[in-house]
Amino acid sequence: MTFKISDAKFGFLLSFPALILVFLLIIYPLFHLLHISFLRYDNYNPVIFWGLNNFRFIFVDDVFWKSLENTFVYCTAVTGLTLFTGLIMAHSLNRLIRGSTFFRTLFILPWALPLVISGLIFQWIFDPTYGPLNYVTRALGLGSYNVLVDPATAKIAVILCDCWTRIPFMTVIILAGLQSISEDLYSAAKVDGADSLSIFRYISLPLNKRAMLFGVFIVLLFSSRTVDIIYALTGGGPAKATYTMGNYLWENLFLNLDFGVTAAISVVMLGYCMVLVFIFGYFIFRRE
Amino acid sequence: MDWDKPKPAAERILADEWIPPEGWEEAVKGVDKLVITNCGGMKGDIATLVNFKIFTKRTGIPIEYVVYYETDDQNMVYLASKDPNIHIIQISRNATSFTHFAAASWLQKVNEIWTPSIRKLYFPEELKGITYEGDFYGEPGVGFPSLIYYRPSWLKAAGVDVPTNYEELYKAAKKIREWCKTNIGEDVYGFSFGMQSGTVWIDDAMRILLTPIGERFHDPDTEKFRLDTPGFKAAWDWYLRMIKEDIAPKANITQTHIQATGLFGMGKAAFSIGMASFGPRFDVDFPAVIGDWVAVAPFTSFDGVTGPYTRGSYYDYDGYYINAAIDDKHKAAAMLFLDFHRSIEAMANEVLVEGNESPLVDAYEHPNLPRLIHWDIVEEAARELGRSVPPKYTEIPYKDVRLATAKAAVMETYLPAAARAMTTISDYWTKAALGELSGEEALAKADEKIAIYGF
Repeated sequence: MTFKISDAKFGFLLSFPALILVFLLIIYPLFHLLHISFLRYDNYNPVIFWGLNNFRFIFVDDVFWKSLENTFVYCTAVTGLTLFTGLIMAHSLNRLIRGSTFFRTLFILPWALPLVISGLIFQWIFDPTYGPLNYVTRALGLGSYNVLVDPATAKIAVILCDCWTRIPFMTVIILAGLQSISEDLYSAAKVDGADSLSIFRYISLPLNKRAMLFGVFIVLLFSSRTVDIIYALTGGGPAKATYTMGNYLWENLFLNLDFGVTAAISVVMLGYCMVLVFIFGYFIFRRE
Repeated sequence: MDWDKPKPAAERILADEWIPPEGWEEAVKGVDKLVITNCGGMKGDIATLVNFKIFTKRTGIPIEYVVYYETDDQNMVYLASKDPNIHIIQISRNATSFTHFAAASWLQKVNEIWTPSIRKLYFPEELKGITYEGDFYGEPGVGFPSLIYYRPSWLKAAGVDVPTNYEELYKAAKKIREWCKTNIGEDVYGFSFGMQSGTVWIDDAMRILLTPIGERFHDPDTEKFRLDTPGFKAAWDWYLRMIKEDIAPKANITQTHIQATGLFGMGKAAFSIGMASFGPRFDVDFPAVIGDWVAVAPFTSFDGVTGPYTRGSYYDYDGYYINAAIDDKHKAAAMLFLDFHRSIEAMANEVLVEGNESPLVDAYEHPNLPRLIHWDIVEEAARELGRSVPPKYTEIPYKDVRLATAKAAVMETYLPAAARAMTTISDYWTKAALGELSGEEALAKADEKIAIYGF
């Protein structure tokens, strides 16, 4: 006896296990999250339907707007600096002949470290008494400076730390894109008398656009959710100078134990992540 | 288990060697281990490990501990997810986390082990931190009152008298700061204290000053926070002056009280306010101050500014509480541990080996407390933790000061969701310290904002 099944049904059967996982790990939690965001779930009062009150609470909270502003500045700076540095690193590694494996491995190391560890490393680097940065400034006669106490420099510190962890990823993405460009194009350009800058501008950059967009998208997405580095390095301070949406969510969950408000914050974060997905998705996947 | 057999509970707890209650073996049959969370690294909690070992020796129940820096964040995960594998949690933010966990019904009530005859053995105020809406939820663990530490040789060299109130301390620290700059280094300060923003800022910075001067941060009748009292304003301003006038390092703004007191231990400050448990550590782990540190009780006035309440001492502790989601056998074993840990035998280790304070009155009035310490177990614990063995004190160091502090203890616990208000207050203080707002503006805005949260 033979069992016949159409290709479409067979395809569905094969993808069924993955669909179950998607449902259990993404669809169900998403709906559960939405559900909780409409509840008064503060682990103190009885749980009841609360309508839009959780959203109202966060939208009138100046801490929410401060965290949103910080997130925007943070993501823009991290993404920009990561892209700029990643471009330089990728082009340098692409040209490297001797020791390329060694240097590629070295550049990947920051990416391999847990983000909290990276935060703690930078906390030590910036320590005004025992950190190497101030050791150098004192040796140069410039005195000590407490980077993490000044809101402006604290912001720069967390941005630099985050960039340090993300540059390897961006470098890998751009490098992969560069290596997919045919060497013939570069050879032809050189024959036509193009200099390095022109080659970069008219060949490397445009033909690597999709990879770069993808890298920018991922870094933007992940940096918008950053908690670990900031938590380890500054705790969101001083006075909320480095406090992002991730910190706002963390505090409402672990400190205030307010699951309803936390869910509402998550929904807002999901919202702006979806906006990024649609914008970047359009540019990455459109036919040219 | 029969808590009053083979002897009345009070006698069992106060015996030189703890006597477990009758029926305990049957009650805990089949319990493979107890898992307990611990706040911070165990290296600083040697007495905790010693007590775990003694409990295991007496009952045969092994204890597995898990350490976290921000324990209550992890505790929340275990409790909210009803994890049956974590049996006892140690709460570090007692004033806020305990009430919220209890309100959420995540903690096990233990009224049966806190009969009136047992409660009489403990400093009454200290039982507040394990009580919520009339029910008892755990065991106070160990207390962390704070003392004022200073360097006597520096005061002498700088020609500064030992201060007797906070205004005098400010002036003394200011003068010593100038002396330090000239004689020791630019990076040595007059005062060091952890002012990191967050809930602990209220506990560790403000209440330490307020309670001894007879002020209270929290009005128990209205459940509101009082930012408008003369004492609160004086304390708020006092800390601001320490930072703005460069008497304390600006780094204190982002440091915990442990980090900041550590600076004192490293010879970077003349005065500090720190936990009593730092005392034994200064004698062993901080070479810079060995033999040159003195501790005094927190002062009782701000140069005349006092409050309307009885002068007390700020008190906080890391209590032990039972996870309500565990099975009955493990609950019985957990209650057995709580019973052991509140005994004089366990408290002797906390008070003498680690320098913590005990909620048990007899820990200070016992005729021969050092005799209760098992130094072989202490040495074993020190080896295991890779640290030095604490000094073998023959009596409680600074006993009178510490007994007075424990007797005068004032414990405050707040309504659930107080954390939001406390963080807001400390954030505004930080803005003032950074110069973004004046002290008065920051205080006014903080008061306005916490009213929105219901405080």
